[in-house]
Amino acid sequence: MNSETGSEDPFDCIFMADNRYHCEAYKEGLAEGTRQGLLEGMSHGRMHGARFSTEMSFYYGFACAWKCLLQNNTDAKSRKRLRTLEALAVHIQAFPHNDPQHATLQQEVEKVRAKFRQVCSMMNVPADFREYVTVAAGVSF
Amino acid sequence: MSWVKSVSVVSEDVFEEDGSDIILQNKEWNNNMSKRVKDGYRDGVDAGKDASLQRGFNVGYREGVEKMVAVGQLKGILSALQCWCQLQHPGSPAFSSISHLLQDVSRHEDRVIERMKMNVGQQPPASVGEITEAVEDLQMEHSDTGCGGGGCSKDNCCRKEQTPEEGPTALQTPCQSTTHPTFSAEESVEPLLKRCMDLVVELGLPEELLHNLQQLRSL
Amino acid sequence: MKDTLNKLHKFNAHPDSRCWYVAWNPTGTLLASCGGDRAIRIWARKGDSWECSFVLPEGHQRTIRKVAWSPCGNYLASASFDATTCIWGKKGDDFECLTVLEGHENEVKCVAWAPSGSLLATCSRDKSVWVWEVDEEDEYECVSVVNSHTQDVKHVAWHPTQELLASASYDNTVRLYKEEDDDWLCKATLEGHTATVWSLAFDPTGQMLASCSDDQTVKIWKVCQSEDEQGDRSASTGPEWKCVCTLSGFHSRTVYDVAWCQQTGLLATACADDGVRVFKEDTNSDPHQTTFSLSAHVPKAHNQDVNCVAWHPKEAGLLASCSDDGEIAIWSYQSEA
Repeated sequence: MNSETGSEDPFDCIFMADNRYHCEAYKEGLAEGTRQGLLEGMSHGRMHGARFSTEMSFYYGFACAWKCLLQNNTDAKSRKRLRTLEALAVHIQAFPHNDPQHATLQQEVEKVRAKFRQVCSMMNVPADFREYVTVAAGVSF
Repeated sequence: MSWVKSVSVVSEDVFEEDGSDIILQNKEWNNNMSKRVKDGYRDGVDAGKDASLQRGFNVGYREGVEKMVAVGQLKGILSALQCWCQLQHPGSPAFSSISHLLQDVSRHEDRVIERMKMNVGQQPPASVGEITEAVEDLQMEHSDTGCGGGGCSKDNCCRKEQTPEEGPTALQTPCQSTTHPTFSAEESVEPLLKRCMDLVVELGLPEELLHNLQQLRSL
Repeated sequence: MKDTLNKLHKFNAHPDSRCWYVAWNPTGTLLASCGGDRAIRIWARKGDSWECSFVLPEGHQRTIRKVAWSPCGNYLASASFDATTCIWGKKGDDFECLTVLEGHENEVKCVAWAPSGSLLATCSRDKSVWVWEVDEEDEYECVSVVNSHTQDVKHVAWHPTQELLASASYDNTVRLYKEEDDDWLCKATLEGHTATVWSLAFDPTGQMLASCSDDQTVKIWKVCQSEDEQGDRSASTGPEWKCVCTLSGFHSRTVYDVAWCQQTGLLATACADDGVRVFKEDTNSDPHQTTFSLSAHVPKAHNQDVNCVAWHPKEAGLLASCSDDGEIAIWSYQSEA
């Protein structure tokens, strides 16, 4: 089909019309789809962002508060704990929080979670903030 | 879809054959065209959705992240204080004050999340501005490269622009605007922050904690 | 297959339950066992038979999956499905629980002491590997939590001479860890198994690592020094481990455990087909293409799945195995030559 040379040919007109209707409808659909996609995406994105932020912010607040509470302790144990708390804060700030498509997001989140659990263990805090890190139930050996 | 009706006008110009055939062919033509229109519309919706879902997600994600920072950190701070208190001063009245406040903060957080959940799938009233902006943004792109010009061949013309670049051209959303409509007064974390600061002063906890809390206030 | 495994003893260590694991103390005078009955028992040879010398008090709420002796032989660590690890020590004539290590979210699958005795590793279904430090006052502190596996971590083992830790997982991989800036980091991922890796063991020299899997194979990994010895690459990433041999076709079901004999370098396997096998490295084998031969096989070593094999640390060729039927068997490897 070569529409440029045969614009006077009636059959080309049919094809043209055929395409035009398809295109016009397509454009209209595109606008509607775009609107729907944005809305849907935003709703879901908002939930995911909120959940992510709830978790990371919690860790950050937790680390900062402990740092404040321990800052004047000079014993070796406290120094060690402070170092670990600092490492947790650094891990949390090591990547952008507002980019759900960040390349190493999952890895960074895992690192933060691991550090948080270490902090809990060091502080003798029962790490029952498990709501963030749920593991599937089941049997394994 | 008002322009669908123009189909018959066009077809009369094209076919110059005897009457009954014309009626039949007109019908067939109309059917075909309306199918083409339906297909086109559906393809357009699909393509539009595909192209915009991620963008919408990113915009919403950013909004969700910012919304939870203050309450999340406050909850973390109070949890740390609670643990500390339990280890240092078990059974002290301070412990129950902290726990009490922590419960209120958790409840506040749950409420905010719950409200967001209810909005999933609906038009969130919060972001009309952003959506309009985003829609315009996408439509601009499409009209630049869409099938406005003649000679569109159906297999590719309408699709080739379906990979809008992410990155610098992506939406610049003003999430930080201070008059964000989603922060209604009843959802404000401010009173909780205030209570926490009072508690920190009352318990004689380090000055730096107040600093941290003060910073959350300005978020 | 010219050599034999002769059964010396067999006894019911965990009646009506599974015997999950056995571990010799460093001098080889005691054999600790643990099982689905939440019990830890310590066995010693009395004349011609094996007797239970100690029954540890109940310390765990659920199945005890593994036990490990500290290199000094004074402590025993136990990993349990109750999410805790207990450290036991001898007080007077009895063992008592000295410390409970908490932190894992769910089932602890394995515990292992580093050769120095100052580090302990645990792993769990929660996908994490934890490294603990033991100070002079016998206090344990977690120095790192590593989340690099994507599934249940089944086993951890330390390199015999270096501070290098290896783990095996349901995600089909083996991972190697080293300490870096106060943290333990995954430095290598050994891929090749096509199903759960159940266990692994370093050979006495630390040059080889054996891993066994649900894919019914055992793989031998070897340290490969990089071609140019001054390479900066090997300084940052460490030497590379490459699979130099895959023992396939020998096992008809899951291989649950592997163990290297300290003295002889023999490799024993525990299999779900109820068999115990011993492999020997071929003497003329090419260093880049190591080959092993099956040198002994007891098809029905136990009535049910064999869960563990453990070579005696001092007596060459003495092997302990345990099974789902609750029994422990002691074997003697006899070479024809």
